[in-house]
Amino acid sequence: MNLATIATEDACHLNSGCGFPAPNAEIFFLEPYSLTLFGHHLLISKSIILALLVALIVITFFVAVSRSSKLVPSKLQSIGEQAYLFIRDQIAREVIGKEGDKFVPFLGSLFFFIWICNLMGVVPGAQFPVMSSLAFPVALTLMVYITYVYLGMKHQGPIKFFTNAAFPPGVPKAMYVLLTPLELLGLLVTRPVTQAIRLFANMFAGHLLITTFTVGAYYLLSPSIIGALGSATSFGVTVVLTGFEMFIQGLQAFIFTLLTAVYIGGSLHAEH
Amino acid sequence: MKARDTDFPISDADRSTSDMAWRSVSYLTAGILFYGGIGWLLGQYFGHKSAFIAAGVIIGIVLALYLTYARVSFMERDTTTSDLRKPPQ
Repeated sequence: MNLATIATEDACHLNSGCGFPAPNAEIFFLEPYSLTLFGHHLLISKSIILALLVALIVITFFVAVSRSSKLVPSKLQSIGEQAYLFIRDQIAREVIGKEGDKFVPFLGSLFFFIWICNLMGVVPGAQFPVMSSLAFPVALTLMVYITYVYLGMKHQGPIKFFTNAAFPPGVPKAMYVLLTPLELLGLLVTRPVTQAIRLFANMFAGHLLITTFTVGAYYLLSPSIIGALGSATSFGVTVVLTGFEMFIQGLQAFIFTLLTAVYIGGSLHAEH
Repeated sequence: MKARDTDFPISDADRSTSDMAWRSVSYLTAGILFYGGIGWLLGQYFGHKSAFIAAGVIIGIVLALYLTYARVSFMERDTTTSDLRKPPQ
């Protein structure tokens, strides 16, 4: 059941006697498009199509920006440079430090991919935040996870990386029995899990909230005082929430990238 | 373009302290999951499951907070000594 069916086929309405058709998690499970490619039957979901589209948009933008770079930048080039500088100065250098510059491409790709994917939640026609499908945040987090574990093993030594993390400095030796499990679990399990779930849950909740008020605006619309006022309020809230959601979308992309930088930084500099 | 030192206004010590804010979240989650899990296992064995889980969760939170506190106070100690060693500007 998606938004279109709620609004048309069921046609639940204030005066039709059925209750408010509150949208639930089902709005995230859309019917996949079926496609035959080179004799293979494929099912492609909307989130995959959007993710591919976003990847194409981001790649095209940065290629277009950097292809004919001049000393006096054009409008497009200066937008691209601002985007690059934002990632370099606000995330890479500020969080990782001197070694940060070589991670700018990775962090930049992550940030812009996630941000535009999230933005698809409010783009008319798309209206589906790609990151509200758990598989996408999980895949990105796995990439980040492998990167920082590898970097940690490379820079601190394969065993040192774990012992440095497992035995925190400034703690009485006797406490290690109780605290080492927390450090190791934090490093290997809760870090990636919270990173993926934070992005997923924010996008999921935001989309559900906007859908609820959109359906509400339709449901209440009727020629009565309650209907008109209720519908108008619900519609107004939808508009406000959409603005707020756009802020959250950027913020979550930033937090995901920032955490990636924090973890990479932690792998590069051992604590003593 | 090569990065200059003035491009890095934040010292390494400050950086690791701000990293701590994020890390405390993962300590708290780990603490609750690990010690809550141990509580659940003990409850399976001895009965009174909810009491064991509650105790485990609380112990987990206490240990996670202690770990955060210990790490931050160690960092501060570290920063102070390294500041003292620096020649006056």
